[in-house]
Order: sequence, then structure tokens, then C-alpha cells
Amino acid sequence: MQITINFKKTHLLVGTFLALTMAIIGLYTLDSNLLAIFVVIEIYLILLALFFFGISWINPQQPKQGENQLKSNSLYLANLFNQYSIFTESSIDGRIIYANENFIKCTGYSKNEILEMKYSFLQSGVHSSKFYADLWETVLAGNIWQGEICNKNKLGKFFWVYMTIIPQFDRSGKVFKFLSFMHEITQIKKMELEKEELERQLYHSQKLESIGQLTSGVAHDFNNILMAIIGFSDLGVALIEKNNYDKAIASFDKVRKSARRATDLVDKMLTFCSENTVSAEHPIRPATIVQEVVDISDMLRSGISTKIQVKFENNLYDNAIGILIGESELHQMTANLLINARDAIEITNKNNGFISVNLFLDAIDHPETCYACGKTFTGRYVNLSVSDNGSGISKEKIPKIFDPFFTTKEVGKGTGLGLSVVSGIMNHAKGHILVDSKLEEGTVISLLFPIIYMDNNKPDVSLTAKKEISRTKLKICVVDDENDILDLYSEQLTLLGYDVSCFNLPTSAWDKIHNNPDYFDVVISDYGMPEATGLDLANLILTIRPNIPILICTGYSDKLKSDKDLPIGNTFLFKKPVEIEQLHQIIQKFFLSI
Amino acid sequence: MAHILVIDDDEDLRDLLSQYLMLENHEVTTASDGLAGIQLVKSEKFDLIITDIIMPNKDGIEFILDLLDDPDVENTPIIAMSGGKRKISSEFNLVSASTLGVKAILKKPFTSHELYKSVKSALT
Repeated sequence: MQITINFKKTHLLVGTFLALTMAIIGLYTLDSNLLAIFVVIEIYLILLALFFFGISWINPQQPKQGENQLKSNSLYLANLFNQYSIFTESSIDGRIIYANENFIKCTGYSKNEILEMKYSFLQSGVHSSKFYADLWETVLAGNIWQGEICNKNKLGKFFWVYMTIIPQFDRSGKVFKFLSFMHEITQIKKMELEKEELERQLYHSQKLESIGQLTSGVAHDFNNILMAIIGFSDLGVALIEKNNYDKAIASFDKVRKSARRATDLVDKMLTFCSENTVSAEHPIRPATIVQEVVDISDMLRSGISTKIQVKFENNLYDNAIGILIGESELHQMTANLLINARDAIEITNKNNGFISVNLFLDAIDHPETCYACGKTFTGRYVNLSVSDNGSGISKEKIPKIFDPFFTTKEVGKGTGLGLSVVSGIMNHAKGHILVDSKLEEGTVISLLFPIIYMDNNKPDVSLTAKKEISRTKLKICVVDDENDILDLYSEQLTLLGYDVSCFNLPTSAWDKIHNNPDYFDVVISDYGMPEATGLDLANLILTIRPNIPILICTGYSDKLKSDKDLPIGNTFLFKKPVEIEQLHQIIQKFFLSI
Repeated sequence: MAHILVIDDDEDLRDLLSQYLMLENHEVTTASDGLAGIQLVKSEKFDLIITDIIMPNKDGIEFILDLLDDPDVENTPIIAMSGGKRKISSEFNLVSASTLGVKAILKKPFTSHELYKSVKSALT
């Protein structure tokens, strides 16, 4: 096609040039004596011009055919493009200035509604504001942005597209509009989400399996703690009867210490039981990683025979790095590796069983192949490895250990899901797994997490209020359906100098507040109560007292997990068991700051 | 008044049992595992030994088996305690009651009353 176009242009150019030359020479020769010679040359030139024009006339069909073909090809392509792709043009402030039919179909809006509509109008709420900020930063800097994005159509339904945004520049090189090409991927996305949900369920059921492994250990620890609580309170009472108050106080201190130990244990269990998030949003720093690994090792300790020595060594101190993994997932993986190590030692009946957990910064200089994803990799990683001197795994079996349901354990000892879950979680975390094992000698399994570099200067937030407030007695409304807890709050808060009113039903507290809205300065409420939750009560109170501090105490609720789940206002969340000192500090801090 | 050895890896429980027993005017020595217990038994004389079962280094069963090998102390009465791990305590129950000469088994958590009762019967 290219050649035809050039050929045609050449003909025309040469023909025109010769015709013009001929005319000029012809005019010039009118005054010349060499008329005869020029007439001959002129005739020659006319013939040449005619010849070239002739070719141009004879050949026009050929180039025209190409032109038509080109025209029909681009039309064909434009049709295809319109049929299968979604396309828009938008202005620098995100207004849509052109949209093709497919885009209109996807959004459910009419053409008139779409035009001049801002892209932000379609936001689904699925992505964070940071996601959109990053997108805008990329395209406004003149770079192409590509990615998956979820929008909301006129009916409120989500539709996913894979989008490519290409910035367009004006003559001065400034971005003045954007071309966006999209492919709808709602179905693919739906399947992905279903797969993720299935994986999540699988992880969770595997976790239930490991909880079974944990229970005996936790029960042992709990019985020790209960023993101390019951014993020391008995002892305290006995000591008071003998007027030995100093020793009695020491005894009750032990009761409190043991109850805190029980709280810690329940906390660890709950972190372990909480559902995995599959992908974590915030990186965790070494201090947290160490804490989580120590927590789970502690919890498992009593489930591992005392004949097996468990050692934890931490060599990760750089606070400017982190890894992207959920605490619950880290628990689950560590627990699985520890349980496997324990079982591998137990079947050998060794008396010098040894499990070593190591955390360190690892540099993989020579390419290694990941046992879970099969990819070759190098680089720097956070390495969490669990080694044992147990039975080891034979060479033939190593490639199979991450397969679901593969197990070497006897029936009832394991479902074979543990390592497949570990590999699934590591895949999500974009990490790798290395296995080193020798039969009869032992196994080392290393989890390698990609490093995330972070800002080191974030200060720790401390909640201590140093000054005591000198105000008139603050009036506190306490709501809890357990009378014992009400008694406890009442006595302790009165001792701290507050004027306390107690209610064992949210409705009776509401009656009092409703009738006299300005009476109370602070509300402390339980979350789970009959008739209404603490959250319902808080929402009601906030309608008439939008600024009153409300402290909500909760045991364990799916609906109320963090401050984010609280209504806007001066509301604070406390996890039970709550120590009065914590409530006191928050109240002090609140009234000091106003 | 008796000289009693209390072996438990949990510091709080060692303290609690000591205080309970001292309230009854007994003299108490404590150890944190079976290994430390054995060393104490070799150097001091006890009228009664109260030992936990699940402990690091040397557990309660190994400790008792060691005691039985020593003619000087094989007749010292023993009370065993256990918290959880039913499998071990029931196995232990069977073996201990008949062959190891354990006087009583206390399942954690137990009250001071239960402790005093067991101590009293073990000492008579």
C-alpha cells in the first residue's frame, strides 16, 4: 500500500514540474532567436509531461483502491474497537468529554448524563483514597496508568474494568486531557473473589485444626492461672482474718497479675482465631513480628513435650523495615511449622529434641528456587525459619509437602493442609519458601518475606495524663447488664472521686439521659446488653449530646473491632477486661484537653 | 510441722503453695523442675514432696522414678499435681497409684482445703 501512494505522488510531482518548466521556457522563447530549437524542446517537454500525466491518469485506480481499503480497514477497526472496547476522553479535572457506546452501556447513564460528569462520580468505594491519589499523581505527571478499577453504575452495581489512561499533551508539553481505554473484567473479578473466599475458608478450617492442637496446651496454662487466682484470693481472705494486711495485699496483687496473664492468653487465642485477611494492608515492624512469633511459641509451648527444647533467636533489629503480613496469618504459619517440627521429633522418640526458631535479615545472592511457587529468586528478605532435629523428609517427598492433603502423619494427627496453607499465605505475601531436609537428621523450613522499607521517625503515642483535673465532681453514667461489674465500677470510680450513677439496662439509662440531657459528663457502657447494644445507646445519646465522651467496653464482637466501627463523636473503645485506671486516664485526658 | 519440698515450674504456684503450707506451720523448700528437685533431695531430708508433672528439663514422672532408685528417699511420701493433659495424668494415675507409691493426685486448679486434706493424709 505504501509503494502505491509514493508512485502516484511522484507522477504528479514530475508531471507538474515539467509542465511548469515548459510554460516558463515557452514564454521566455517568445523574445528569443532560437525559436526553432525551443519549439522542438517544448514539444519534447509537452510529450514528456503528457506521458507522465498519462501515467497518473492511467494508474489512479490502483492508489484509490488502497485508499478505500485503508478507509474501510480503519472503519472496520474503529467498529471493532467500539464493539469490544470501552473508551472515554476526559479533561484534566476528570470530566468526561467523550464516551463511546460501550462506556454508556456499562454505566447505565444516558449520553447527556455522562458528558460533563466527573469520573469520581463512578467511584465504588472499593478503593482507598490513596489509590485514587496515586492514580492522579501518575497521570498528571504525564505517565500512563494501568490497573484494575471498580466503578459503580447508575443502578449502584459494581463493574470492574482493566483501565489504561494515556495523558495527552498540548504544544507546551502540558497534560491537557486523558484517553482511557478499558476492558470489562467484572466476571473475572467475580471468579477471583470467589476463589479468594474459598481460600479464606480453607485457611480458616485449617486453623480450626491447629486450634485443636493448641487446646491442650492452653488448657494447661489456664488451669495454672486459675489455680493462682482461686488460691491467692483464698489466701488473701485468710490473711485478712489473721490481720496480716501487708501479706493480704501482696496476695491480691498476685490475683490481679494472674488475671492479666489470663487476659493475655485469651488475647492471643483471639488473634489466632480471628479470620485471616488474606492480604494485609499495613506492614508490621520487627518488634511486632518478634512479639507475634514469641506469643504463638508461648501458646504452643505447653502443647510440646517438655523433652523438646524450643529456642527462639531474634537477629532482626532494623526498625526501618517491615513485612506485609497479617498478625493472624503469621500466627497460623508459625503454629503450623512448630506443630510439624514437634511431630517430626516425637515420631523419632528422641530424648534430645530441639526446635529452633530464627528471625533474621537474609541476603540470597545465588539464585534459589522457591518450593511453593517454583520461581527462582535472589535479593534481601526477612527470614523466619523453623528447624528441628526430627525425622526429616525424604528427597522424593519434599516436592509434595506443599500439596493440599499430603501428609506423612498417621490418621488423626493431621489433615495435610498445614503446609499448603503456609504456601498459600506466602504466595499472597509475595514471599518464598525454602526447604532443607535430611532423613534422620532434621528439617529447616524458611519463610522469606519481601522487605518493605519504612519511615523510622514515627513517634509512639502515649496516653498518660500527668496532671489531675481540678473540677467539680464529674458525673458518670455507667451502663452494664452484669450487676457485679456495676458494683465494681461504682466503688472504684467513687474512690477515684467521681459521682457515679449505675444502670443495668440501656433503656433505663436512656430514660434518665433523655429527661435530663445535661446531667452527665461521661457515659461508660457495656457493648453486649439485652434490648440494645452499647453502640445503639451511644448513637441515641449523641443525637442530644453530640460532644459527651462515651466509653464503650466490649468483650469480643465482630461488629465492634476497632475505633473505626464507632460513631463519630468523642467515643472510645475498650477491650474487656477493662482496668478502671484506663478509663480514668481517658476521662482525665479528655477533660484536660478541653 | 513437716519439712515439705514443692516442685513446680510456675513461680506463682510455688509461691502460693509455700504460703498455704506455711500458714499451717510447715517448713517449705521450693524447686522449679525435677532436676533441681533431685539435687535438693540429695542434700536435704524432706517429710513430704509435692511435685508438678509437666515441667521442663526433668518432668514429674522422671523425678519420681529417680527417687525410687535412691534407697534413702524411696519411702518419702509424694503428692503429684497436674493441670490439663488428661492423657498424661490418667496414665500417670494408673502407674503411680500402684507402683510409684504416690499418696495423692491433685488436679489443678485445687483449693487450699483439698491441699490440706491431701497433705494431712500423706503425712500420717
